[in-house]
Amino acid sequence: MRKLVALIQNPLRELQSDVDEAVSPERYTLLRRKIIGIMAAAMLIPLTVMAVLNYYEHQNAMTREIQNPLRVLVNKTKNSFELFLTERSSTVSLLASAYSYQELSNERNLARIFNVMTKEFEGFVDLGLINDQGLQVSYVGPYALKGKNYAEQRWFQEVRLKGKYVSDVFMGFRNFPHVIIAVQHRSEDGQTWILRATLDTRQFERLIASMSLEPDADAFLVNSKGLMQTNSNAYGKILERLTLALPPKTFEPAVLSITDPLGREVFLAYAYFPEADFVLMAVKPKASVLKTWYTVRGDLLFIFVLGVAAVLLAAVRVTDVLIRRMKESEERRELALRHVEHSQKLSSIGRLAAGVAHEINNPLAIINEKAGLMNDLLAGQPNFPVRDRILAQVESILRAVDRCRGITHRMLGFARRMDVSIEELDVGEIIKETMGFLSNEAMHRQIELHLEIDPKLPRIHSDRSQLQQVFLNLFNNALAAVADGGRITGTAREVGDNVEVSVRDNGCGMSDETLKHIFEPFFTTKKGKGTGLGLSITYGIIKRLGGDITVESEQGAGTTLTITLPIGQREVQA
Amino acid sequence: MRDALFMGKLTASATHEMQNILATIRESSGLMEDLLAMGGEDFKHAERFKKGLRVLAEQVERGMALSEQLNYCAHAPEAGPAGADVNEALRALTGLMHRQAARSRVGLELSPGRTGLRTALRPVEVMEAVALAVEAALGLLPPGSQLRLCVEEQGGLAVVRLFAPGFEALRETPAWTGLSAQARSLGIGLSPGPGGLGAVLALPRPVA
Amino acid sequence: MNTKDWKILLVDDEHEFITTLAERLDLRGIPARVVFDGESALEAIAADEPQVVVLDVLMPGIKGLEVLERVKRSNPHVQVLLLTGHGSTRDGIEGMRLGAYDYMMKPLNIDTLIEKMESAIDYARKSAKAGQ
Repeated sequence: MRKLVALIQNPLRELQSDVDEAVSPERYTLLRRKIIGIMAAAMLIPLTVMAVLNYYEHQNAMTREIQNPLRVLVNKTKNSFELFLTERSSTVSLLASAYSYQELSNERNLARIFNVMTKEFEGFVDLGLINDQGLQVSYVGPYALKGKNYAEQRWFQEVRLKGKYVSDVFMGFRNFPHVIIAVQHRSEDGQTWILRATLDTRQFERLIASMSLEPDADAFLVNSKGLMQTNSNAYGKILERLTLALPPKTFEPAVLSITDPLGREVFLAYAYFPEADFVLMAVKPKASVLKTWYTVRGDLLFIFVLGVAAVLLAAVRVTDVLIRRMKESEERRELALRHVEHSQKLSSIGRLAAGVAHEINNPLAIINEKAGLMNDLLAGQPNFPVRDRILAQVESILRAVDRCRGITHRMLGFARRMDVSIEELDVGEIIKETMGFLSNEAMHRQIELHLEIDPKLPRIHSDRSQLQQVFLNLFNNALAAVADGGRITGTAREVGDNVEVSVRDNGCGMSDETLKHIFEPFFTTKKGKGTGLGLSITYGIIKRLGGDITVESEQGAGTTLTITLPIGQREVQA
Repeated sequence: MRDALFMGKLTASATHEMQNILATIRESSGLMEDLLAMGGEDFKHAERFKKGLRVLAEQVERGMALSEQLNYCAHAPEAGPAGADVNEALRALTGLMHRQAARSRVGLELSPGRTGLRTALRPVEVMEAVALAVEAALGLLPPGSQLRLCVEEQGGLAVVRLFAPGFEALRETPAWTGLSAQARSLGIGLSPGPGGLGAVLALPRPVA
Repeated sequence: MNTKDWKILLVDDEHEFITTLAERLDLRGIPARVVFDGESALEAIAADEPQVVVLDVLMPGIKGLEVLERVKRSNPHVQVLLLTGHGSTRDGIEGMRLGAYDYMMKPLNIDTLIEKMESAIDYARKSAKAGQ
């Protein structure tokens, strides 16, 4: 875990240390795993967080969108119920006050009034007048209820107390569910009577039907004691006990998310009636209302899985490419290093070759001595016919040996470059000597070699063979850059505490891009040939010798490479 | 590598020049012989002179041979499409190592194999590897002994056999450490000779 | 310059070279003995001390520089002129450090050699006198 944290905090360093330290062949596998891990984590964590947030946001929005209409519907229906009850009770109230006790106690009158009332308002079943003793004085309706005494009934007590009463649904004497509305009227002379009407609860069913709910949804009235006031599809028949728990009391419509006794996830919208002991409830199963949401959720999940797959695929692919590149470049580096190592190992063949070059001195020395001896022998002799001609040949041989001496000298000068030592040197002489090697090629290509060496140039402490290598590289580069008939100028002068040597050519020059990389190992502009070690080796040597190297170049105009070497013996870097 | 090739280029041109000069010396001495034959009767030191001319001719040939060896070395780092001729490389190498062997008072002897036997390696790589093997052997051989190198063909592969002391002893030498590293990188097979004596270097087959 | 009483020893394994050199010196009136290896050189020096030894650095058997060292220990007045191949300045310088009088590169210029011999003999005489 800590490792993971460290990895996340600084992935590059972690990877770096792996690259540097791991030497086992599995290091690429390890590295690959880590890169993929980091890349996947970097992409998947935000993706997952976003997906989860999106999921909840979406779910909330969907829920709100489903709940709101339900709440509105419940509210509207509750209002309809209230309006229905209010209208009915107002009507009864009006009748109670509009007629006198005598008028109402006359059953023919009451029948006429009931007739008008039922014409105006649906739902009335019967109408009766009850005196203050609880006796039903007159009655209009389908049942024989005249003369019944209600004095002992609770609703009677209540209407005496409050003046108005709307009952729950109950069976009563009639044996079918009904609601009664009772209004007490007190006349000016102090006489009180109660007008009582019965409402058919089919009106309730009709109101609920007007909500036009889906078949799997449910709506019903229940009283605060939990008794069903209308029939429900799933939660009990009328006057049975509601199988759901009663929600907290609120007159504003509210929506709850609950699990019903059938085990379904449902939305329960409800509202308590302020004026009557009713609670209107509407129940919708989530499964049906959230169908769209589930589709959306499925889409979301699909997109998320697809995204994860794409991310993983991309991470694996990119990492594979990365690792392959790394592997390749490492292999190239190794190959190049092996080449370098190899060219260093060549030194043993080089030494053998140097031995041969030495050995060539022996026959040359003998030829020299023999010719010298012949010269001596001829010198002491009087003239004879072919003497001068022979002498000319002897001299020619001596001259030839001299030329060979020059050649072996040059060759051995180079063979010696393997030996490393600091000595006092004449830089000018080394430059001249080095240039001598290239004079053949220069002559052949008609390249003008020009040297400007300050005759008062101080001697410096440095390594002869390394400097030879450096100058050789510089001149060789210049030769490669110039066209046939070009010009190369070498200058050497004293600048401060340094000797400055520059090699200028009027060749093709270099692009800025080339200039940027010119001292990097394995950089070469000669496509397909060379290992590109020339200038980086030069750079390395010069740095080791405590000097510096700079390059100026203009494409098409030529290049000047300038090296500065300290005159005194500076601390030589390892 | 580039350095070796470049050095090789320089050396090759130098040896070429050297051979030209030696050739002129040969011509000069030949001409002198003719001149002496024509009109040297009055020359008191004619005989001494003639002897000198003989030595001169010998030394010119010696110089030529060395120069050729050097020339071979100069070209040795170059990679040819057909690889290296194993016999040539070993001939050059024994020539080069002759002096070193002589210093250890060991004679160096080469039995060349089938003409035209080649390997995928560059000449310098062949020489380098065999040189290390010879160096390892030189450190073990008593003065006055002979070291025989033999080029053979085994199953289409060019093989260099070294008739030297025990393989185990060879493996202990510092030169062998260098050789085994190089053999690994060049694809040379190293194995003991028959009876654990000497060593066999199997060189990689040429590409074509 | 009387060269007849110079005592010179030439040491080189290249027979032709060193005998021809001796012959040429002889023509110039300089007597020189010739030996072909380090052991013989040390024997010859022990038997009859020369003033100057012309010694090749590269020889099989006892190397030139070793001969030089031993001569300088046993016969400090003997002056040694080293012969080196071209490019082996280092051998020459090492030889100078070990007490060689000077060094020369092959192929030789005989006049230069004789000049160096003369100055070496001069130096040997002076140092011998100073030593007495």
